[in-house]
Amino acid sequence: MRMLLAILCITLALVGAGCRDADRDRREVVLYSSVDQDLAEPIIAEFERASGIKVRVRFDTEASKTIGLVQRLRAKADRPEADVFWSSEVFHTVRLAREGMLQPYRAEAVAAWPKEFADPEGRWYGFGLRMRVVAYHTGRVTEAEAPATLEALLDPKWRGRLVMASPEFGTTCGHVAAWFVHYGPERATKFLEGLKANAVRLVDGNSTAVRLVGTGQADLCLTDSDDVYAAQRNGWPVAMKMLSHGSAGVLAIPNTAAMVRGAPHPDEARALMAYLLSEATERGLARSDSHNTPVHEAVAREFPAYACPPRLPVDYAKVAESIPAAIDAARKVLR
Amino acid sequence: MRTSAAAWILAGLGGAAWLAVIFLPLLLLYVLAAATRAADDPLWSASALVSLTARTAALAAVVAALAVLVGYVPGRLLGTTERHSSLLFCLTLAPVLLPRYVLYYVWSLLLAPTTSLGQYLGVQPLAVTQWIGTVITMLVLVLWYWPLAALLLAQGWRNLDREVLESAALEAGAWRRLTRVILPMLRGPLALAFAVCFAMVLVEYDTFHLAGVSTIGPALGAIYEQTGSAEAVARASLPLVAAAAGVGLALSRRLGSALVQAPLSAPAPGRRSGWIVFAILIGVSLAAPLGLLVTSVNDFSALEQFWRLQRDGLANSVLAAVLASALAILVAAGVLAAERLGAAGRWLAALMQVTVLVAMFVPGALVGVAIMRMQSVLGLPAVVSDGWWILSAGQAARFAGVALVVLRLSRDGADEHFREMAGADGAGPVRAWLHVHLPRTWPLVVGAAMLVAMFSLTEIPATLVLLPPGVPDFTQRLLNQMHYARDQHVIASCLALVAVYLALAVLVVLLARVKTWRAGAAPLLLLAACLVCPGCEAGPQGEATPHVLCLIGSSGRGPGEFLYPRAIALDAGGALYVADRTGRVQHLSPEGQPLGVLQLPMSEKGYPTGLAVGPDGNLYVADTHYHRVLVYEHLGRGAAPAPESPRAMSEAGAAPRPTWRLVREFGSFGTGDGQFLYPTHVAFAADDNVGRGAAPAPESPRAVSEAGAAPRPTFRIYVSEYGGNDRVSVFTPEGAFVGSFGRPGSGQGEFSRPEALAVDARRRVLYVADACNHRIARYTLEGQLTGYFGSVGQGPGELRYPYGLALLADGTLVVCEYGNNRLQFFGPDGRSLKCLGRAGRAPGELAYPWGVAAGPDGNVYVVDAGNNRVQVWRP
Repeated sequence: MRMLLAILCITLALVGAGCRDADRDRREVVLYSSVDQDLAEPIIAEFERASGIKVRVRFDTEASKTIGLVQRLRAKADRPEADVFWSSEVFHTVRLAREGMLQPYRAEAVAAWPKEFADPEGRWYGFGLRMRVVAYHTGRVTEAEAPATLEALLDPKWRGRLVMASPEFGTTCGHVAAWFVHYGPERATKFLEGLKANAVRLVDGNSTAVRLVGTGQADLCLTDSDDVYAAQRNGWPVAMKMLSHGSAGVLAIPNTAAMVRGAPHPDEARALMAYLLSEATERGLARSDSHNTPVHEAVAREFPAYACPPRLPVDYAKVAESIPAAIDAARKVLR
Repeated sequence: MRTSAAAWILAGLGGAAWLAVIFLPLLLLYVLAAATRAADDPLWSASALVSLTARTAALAAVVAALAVLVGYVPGRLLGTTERHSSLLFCLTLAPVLLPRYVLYYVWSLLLAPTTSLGQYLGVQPLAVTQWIGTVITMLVLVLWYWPLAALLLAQGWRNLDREVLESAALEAGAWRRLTRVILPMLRGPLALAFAVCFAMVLVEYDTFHLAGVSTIGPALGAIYEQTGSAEAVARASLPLVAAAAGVGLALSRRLGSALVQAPLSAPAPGRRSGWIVFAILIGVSLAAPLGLLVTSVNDFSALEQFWRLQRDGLANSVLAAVLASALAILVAAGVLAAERLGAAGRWLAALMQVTVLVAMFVPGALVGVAIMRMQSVLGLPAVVSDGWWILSAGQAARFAGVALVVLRLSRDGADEHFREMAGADGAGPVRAWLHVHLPRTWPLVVGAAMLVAMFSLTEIPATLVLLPPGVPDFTQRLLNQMHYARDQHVIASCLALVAVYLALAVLVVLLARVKTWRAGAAPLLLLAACLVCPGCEAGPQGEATPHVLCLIGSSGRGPGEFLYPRAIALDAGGALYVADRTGRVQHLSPEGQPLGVLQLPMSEKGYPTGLAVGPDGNLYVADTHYHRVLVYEHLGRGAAPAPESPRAMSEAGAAPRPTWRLVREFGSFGTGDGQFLYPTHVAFAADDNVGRGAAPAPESPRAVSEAGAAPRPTFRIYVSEYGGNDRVSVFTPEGAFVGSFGRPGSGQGEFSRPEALAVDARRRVLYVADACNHRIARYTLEGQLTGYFGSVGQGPGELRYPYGLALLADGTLVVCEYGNNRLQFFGPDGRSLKCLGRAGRAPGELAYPWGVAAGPDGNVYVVDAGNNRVQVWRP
């Protein structure tokens, strides 16, 4: 009996301890974030300190980034729990906006936001760009050899040497969809077939793709710039080239911030939106080991090393619209 | 009457828990799946799923077969050895406690591109490296699964007919005995071991996910994430559920007839070789991975950061795991209690047992999805789904089977007759269990609870589905750290996990061994919980929030990135020199842009902790672990790579151009005059003959430029050191020894690790940060002690491990407190003026700051070592 009492005491104590810091009077906001936890947390902490608003965050795993949270937003559409969605990409945010899951956010600070990175109705704003790149093993591929365009990837000499993340997820999904918008479905499908002919290996995420290149299990991979910076941080023999689409430019993937429709804490959500879209956040992202390219011109001038090369002129809304068709085509061709 | 009521209560509570976390969610999920048209299924075609399932099944079959093969010898040893059987059992179980994905990650560290092996493999043909990658994934799984196979086979060995074995030993050779007698008799246990391993590999998620191997487990998670349809996941998982049901039924039947018997005493030939095989397997499954983890640590700040910054996640995960463990034990106890409630109870118990075991073998994501779906359908209030406890539901559902197996084996054990005797004395079954059986087997119950808690702590698939917002979680962060290749943080997390496991194991041993501690267990655990929970530790008092101007650097080895920076100095133009644990001194603009890199000649033994720019404009490096001071002349910025282009940056990292020239070095290992043990810092003062009364501080740009204008500046060099020779030595600019003062100790004129120096030329004062005595010593420039200020503590005026010093233009001394994670400002009179900063990783917060420097504009540069950055504050 003493044992049972002891277990009961411990359980109650643990439950009590877990609830201890619950402060009902404190203002709070619920954030869904698919951004790398280690990058996002300092920014969120700074917001909490500056505003006094507690942020309850739901992060996601790297491989299922964004899509897991997008589905959670949809699943809870009738009774939203999130106030703000901070995504590491743009395509699924656009789709959520179309589904009526997001609400407009207007403020003086975002009135002059660059048009390509803002929804005309103010339902999302883009900032902190990453680039789509080709990462290569520096011991196996010279800089001169490494392909700099999508077209060059289809050269038969890369057969069996290429790896990429599954096109159902994350930025790879948006990237493939961007081919459909930029080149048209027929030519985009040809690219997929070309990759298939080169025996491209599909893995669960961009970081896994870079890891395979780093460990010599592949020579090249399609990935995002931040994953290459992460590999270089560890001293891996991995370098990158910005992947141009013909001569049209490189696909930039902005972070996006959006207010969820029916947000339970609207005032706090607006405060968080303002902070996420501030220069401070962009500066933090540029300084982080993700090295995002700032959208604010003043901040971008502070970080010339991470300046964006000519960007692929695509309409993110159209890219988002073509995602289902692109996934379908990619699955049919690649799987 | 009372005992009957107790049985009903236990069965009722256990049954309710079972209904809530296992039966209803799974039933509801499949009913809904059956009711939904298949046409609504996801984009995954049926043929693609079948093909993926078949490929996974083939992989699982190979792993399971190898695991059974490898586990055969240890299984025989476990089943036939009487001596040290408890030790054998614990050792066999131990590798299972290290999560599979951790095991995979640890072994992959060996092949990381920065290791010799990784570099060798990196240039091998692609087919070879890909093959090695696949083999390693399979081997890691085999290393994890063989103990399971061995435990199941051991039970088989214990049930073998001894007479048959003894007869066979007399009449047949080893091979014939194996093929004609033992294997046929062990057919059942072998098949069960294979089936259990097969079913678990079939739904494996984490390892395949990390290794980039496409299997059905991650695919199910992907289907849910893509479609958001629980029903689609349910349909796609049907083949796996069928396999799980088959294995669950087989295991259930086996459990029904299980009796723990004494180990088989029949002679087992080759037992010595069995021990050798067992030792090798434990070595590669447990000892080697732990050794690899420990030896891979090269950034101790990650370990410190883990405890200070991530314990809230660990604490929450531990809480969830403990509750999951309690729920799992409740469900298992409910099954056993229900069996004693007549025929209907037995039917219910059988149903509970099968479903509990099935839930153990279905994909974890499915369990999470089912619970989430049930919440949605039943419209449960947010308070149910928004707390960390919802994680416990998923984890309990996944691992109640483990608790059931252990409890059933303990209940059906050899002491069954004791309970019968108690029954004969008039005790009911529950009372007999409480008073007769429990006292004998409660360590096993606690062990089962611990086992479930350990599995739950590192459970990923269900946790990722169920995790509510605002709940920090250990496993999610660990998985992300693995993905983002934050190796040192992963290692820190894994070591913390091992520490938690060890603590739990020690606790169980103490509870089992020390009777008198049992009554004190609750208060002890309560105390432990309080210590683990965030926010218990009182922080330093009196800190103000600093005005953060900018953050410089991030984690890494690249330009502008740091790995545990520890030393800083500013040059005449306000540019920074920062030394870290990569063996580099980086030259950075005041805004943090990389200007160049000085690679130190040797750094295998350790890295410098002190930097200073002399009045001659040279860079002085206290090369701590090489017992010397290095003096570098900067040849100018023209040769430095342009920081703006990534290519230039990578070149800078790979082959820095010779921007610096080693002018001289002085000091050697020893305790004699002019020798050093571990030099920590360097400071300068104008020589008496030329400098007395000269107003400017030697570190100010004006002083430097004036000094630079002189044909040959004359000054003294002060060098502090520790390691048993704690003192300050004085040298000429050419490195000739002039004198020294101080000795090891904590009394007057004694030092314990003098870590930093600062010279106030105007007041002719030399400040010494006497780090381990937690005080600042004041000396004249001639080495006469004039007093101390500061004592150990967290309040204003108190210090904990002052590691860095800097002087502001008005004579204010800035002390960087490693132990209090703050800067403290002291007036020239030693009075504390203010404290800035606190522990943390947001801007304005510090994690183990090592150094500080003051700029000509009055800004201070704090070396935020644990956060791998330099912060610029306006005081």
